[in-house]
Amino acid sequence: MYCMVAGEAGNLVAQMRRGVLPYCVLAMLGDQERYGFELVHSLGSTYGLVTGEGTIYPLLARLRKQGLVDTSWRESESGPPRRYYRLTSEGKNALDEFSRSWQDLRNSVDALIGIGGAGLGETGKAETP
Amino acid sequence: MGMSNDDELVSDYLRRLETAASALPADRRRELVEEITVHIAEARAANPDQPGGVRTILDQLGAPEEIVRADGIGAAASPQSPMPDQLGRLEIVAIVLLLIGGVVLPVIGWAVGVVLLWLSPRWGLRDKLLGTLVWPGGLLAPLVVFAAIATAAVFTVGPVCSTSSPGGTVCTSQTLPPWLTITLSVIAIVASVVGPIWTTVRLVRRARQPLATTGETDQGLLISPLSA
Repeated sequence: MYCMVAGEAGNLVAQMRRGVLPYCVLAMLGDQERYGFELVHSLGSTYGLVTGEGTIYPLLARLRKQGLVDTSWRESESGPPRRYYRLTSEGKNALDEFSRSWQDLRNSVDALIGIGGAGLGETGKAETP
Repeated sequence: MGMSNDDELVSDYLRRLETAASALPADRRRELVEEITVHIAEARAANPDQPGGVRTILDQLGAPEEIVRADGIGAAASPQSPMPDQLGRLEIVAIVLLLIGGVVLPVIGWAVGVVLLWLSPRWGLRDKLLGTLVWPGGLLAPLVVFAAIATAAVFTVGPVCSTSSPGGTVCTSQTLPPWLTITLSVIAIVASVVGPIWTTVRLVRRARQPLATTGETDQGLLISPLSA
């Protein structure tokens, strides 16, 4: 049984971050392939989705193993070869599916909380502005 | 300047990572350490004048133990690789010696097995005591029991007390009727065979604890439901 305790929202958000992180990785690769460092650094610093950037590397290995991303090595002028990650077609499918689910979830929660002007009408249905 | 200080910080960090990653399979460990090493190098190159320097980079990476833990969770949650069910070499040798070491090299073989048993980190105190006391000698025990019984049987199943002859023959040290001797012998042999075998099975099962159990599967990543 899941019991709600005051102050647990923070823990929930942390869990949710952990849950969506793989899809955020896929999303970052959606438009172009990226190499390890820029991917990891963006997710950590720019988007603040992980506290320890290093934990993204095991995640990338997992996505690779599951066939959702592919890697290739490219020579770089400024040092050792870089490992570039790109989305596979399976990865694209997984990302699309997640996007749809995420949209639905977000719309519902937003409507309930009343964010974005969409509130519950008298009929109990969400009114889109 | 502080360049060498930074390099020291980095090599300390990587050393911690190597140690923490010793629980991972060798190729994954090598890969992870390489990835982190490259990451640090890239981060330093990307921002050479970063305030806080290398320390900031390492802080952002997070603790090496956390990184390895994330990898461990992956190994447990991935549908492709089963739980690492590794029986260490030490444990295998210990078990073999405990079981038949006493037969191959009487006493010494089994004793070495006991030493290895106690050296292994994979068994708790109770298992170690069990391995030592049930039975001493492993499968040597049944042989000893059998030999003891065979010797004793010569005397007890031998000349039977004869009460029918008029003079009354003196019995030769017979205390147990043959059927009892045989029954007890069978029980003793069975017990001395079953004992070591049961202990062996138990030790094998206990030594097979997966290496990366973190118990965080309820907070695991959501990838698994969507993967084909």
